[in-house]
Amino acid sequence: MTPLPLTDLRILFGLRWRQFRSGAVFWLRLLGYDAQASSWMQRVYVLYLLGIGSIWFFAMWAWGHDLALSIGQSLAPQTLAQLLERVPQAVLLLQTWAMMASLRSTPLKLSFPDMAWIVGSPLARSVPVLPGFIRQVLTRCILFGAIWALLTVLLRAPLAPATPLDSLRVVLVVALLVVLTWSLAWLLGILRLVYPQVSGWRWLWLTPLVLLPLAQLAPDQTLWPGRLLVLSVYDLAPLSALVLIALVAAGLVASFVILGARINMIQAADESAVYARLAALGLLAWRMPDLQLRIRLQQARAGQKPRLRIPSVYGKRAMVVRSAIAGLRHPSLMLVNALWGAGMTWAAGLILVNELPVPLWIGWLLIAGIAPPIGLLYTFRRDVQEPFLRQFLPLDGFQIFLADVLLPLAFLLAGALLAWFRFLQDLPPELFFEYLITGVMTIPLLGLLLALCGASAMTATRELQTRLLGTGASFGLAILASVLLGTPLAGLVVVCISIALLGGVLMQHA
Amino acid sequence: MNDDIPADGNADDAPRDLLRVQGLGYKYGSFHALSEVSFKAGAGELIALVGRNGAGKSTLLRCIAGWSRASEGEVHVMGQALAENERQAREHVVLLPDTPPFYDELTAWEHLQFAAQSHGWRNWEDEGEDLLERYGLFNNRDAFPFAFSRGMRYKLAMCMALLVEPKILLMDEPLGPLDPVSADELWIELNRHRNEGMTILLSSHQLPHEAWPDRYLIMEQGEIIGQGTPDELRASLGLGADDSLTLDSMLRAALRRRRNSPRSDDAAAAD
Repeated sequence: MTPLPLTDLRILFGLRWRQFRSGAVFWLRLLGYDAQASSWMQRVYVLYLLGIGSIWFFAMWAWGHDLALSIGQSLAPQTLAQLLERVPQAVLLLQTWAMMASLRSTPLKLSFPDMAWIVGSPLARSVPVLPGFIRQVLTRCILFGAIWALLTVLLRAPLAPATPLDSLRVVLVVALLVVLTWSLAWLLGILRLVYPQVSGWRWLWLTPLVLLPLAQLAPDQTLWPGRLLVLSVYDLAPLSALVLIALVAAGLVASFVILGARINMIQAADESAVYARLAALGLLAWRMPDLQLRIRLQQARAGQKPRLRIPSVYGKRAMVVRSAIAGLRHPSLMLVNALWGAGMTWAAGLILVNELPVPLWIGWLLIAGIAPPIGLLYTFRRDVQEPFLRQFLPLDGFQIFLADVLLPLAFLLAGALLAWFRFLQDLPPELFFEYLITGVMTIPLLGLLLALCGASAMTATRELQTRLLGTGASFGLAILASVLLGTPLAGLVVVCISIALLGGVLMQHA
Repeated sequence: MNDDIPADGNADDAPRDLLRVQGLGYKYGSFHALSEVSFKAGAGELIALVGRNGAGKSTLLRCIAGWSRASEGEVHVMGQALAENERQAREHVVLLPDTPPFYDELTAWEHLQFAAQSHGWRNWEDEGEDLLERYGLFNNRDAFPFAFSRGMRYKLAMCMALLVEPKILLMDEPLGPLDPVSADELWIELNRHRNEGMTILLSSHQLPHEAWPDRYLIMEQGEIIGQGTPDELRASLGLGADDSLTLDSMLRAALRRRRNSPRSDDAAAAD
């Protein structure tokens, strides 16, 4: 048998296309289009949707382009230099993560129907490998391609504005690097599935971390992909290097496809359990990131012994201790809180000091409102949104909030304050103390307000369930008060009033 | 347990008034899931809520527990109106849904520990161990409940509920996830708690063999179409002395009677 029977491959690609189409039908139905109907009105409606979609896409892209351009023009030369210096390190980090992920769990992800019908069918075992790889690489190419198209505009702005051709060139290089990175990751992952004895090495997945210290010792050998990307932004990347990358990537893909014929599918199916559960949720998973997270955390905890014990404390103290232990049993969530706090503070500092355009503040606010760190209210959500559990908690909503949020908020504030102190190191001494005091006063209050906005959106009261409204109103009013009255103190007063109001809402409705 | 029954009403009526549901209605959009539901339950009564799928049994239990806000009517728990004294009234009621959720971070034992300690109770451990032993979960006490089967999850929820000793225990489909042996054991336990004064209202499509609740409430399309003790129902539904009184026969007879009689008569009978 050849390593890749084309007839089987055609069948599987056909199946994947049907699956993609049925997913698309769901979204089209949401937009009012009935894929089953074949009337003229429906066809006209498709044209209308395409037109509106194109206009929206180009308008958004133009907005993003202008924003990137204005940020690039506002950036101080030393900030730009720092940014360029970090790019190769960021690329290496991503590559390391891709390899670790593949070594930890099968890169070939199987859904429950895949396990039932593909694994159990007479199709060659190498057949699911290629479509799986293509799907993963395509989504990453689109994501990183779009990011780098805009980054090219930003990075070239201080010299000469980028042309569409510049962005296109960088996107092509990005696509090459994505294929190279994930083909290497897949090869490692499939080697592990082919040789079961390798799977027994418990800490094998950590080995790619060696690359990080190695980057300090031998930067030329480890950081070259990122450097190549930076060079391509300024049209300095040698063509021969790109051709070489393409050849190496093709060789890697061929290798893992050939090896794919010997995959241990039982192991692949076993390691796909989380993916299969998420895939079973279908498009619901996109709308419920909390549920996704729960499934992942459950899988991580399965079979483990519990860390720490609830001590003999009673009443409200029992609530606080239980929430703290729940948080400490998910250290990754607490770490994400700290990183989120640090990242958002750093971004705010950059916008403030570089006097970047106002839309960036709006973007910052949107991120705070739409995507607060998921671990901040993880326990609180469970406490108030599951009436079965809520009936065992003899406290009002605000008390539960305080108990549940104490530890995650402490992590978030620690990250934010540390980032703020680090950020202030680069400022002139005369600004240092002014900014230090402002940060120490505002960061804890803003953190608490952010948590309260999210918590009030979890109450049963429908009017309060739009988190963005609460965040926009409370943070927006604070910014407005500061600007109109010319003092940050006015903003702080508004923040305090918002905290009191939202606390009352929780007391009454959670 | 009866010490807590309010002394404001007639002393003779007090045991009958532990739970009073009056003219309860609930709407999902324009669909009436419950309409004009009225009944009373006294201390130490075990009532079975019977009806077809979608009859409104779970909605009724949710409204009594305060999980859903009724669009009309009132629920009184131990003399207190649920709508006005929600927090106090809810302290006495626990509802076990058909698939109870748990904390992913806490083990089975820690769920009991947390429930007891957050209420400020000391020396609860013996009772906790006893409950886990009785419900066959003792060997799984250090496991996380998300790995439990549906039946085990229901048993753990039952242990949590019994640990906090509610005056009124509401159970949605308690026997569905359980194997026949566990169902029989649960019924014996429920009888024991009933004898200790706990009021139990459970919805079910099946009851263990020779299991007799004190009363039945038969529901259809959001209304109560029949209620009473087994003997009362046998008489009112026209079942002969030789007919076996099963949930199935009872429900069929109630539905037949509803079809054959004018709606107004049914409403009067339900009242």
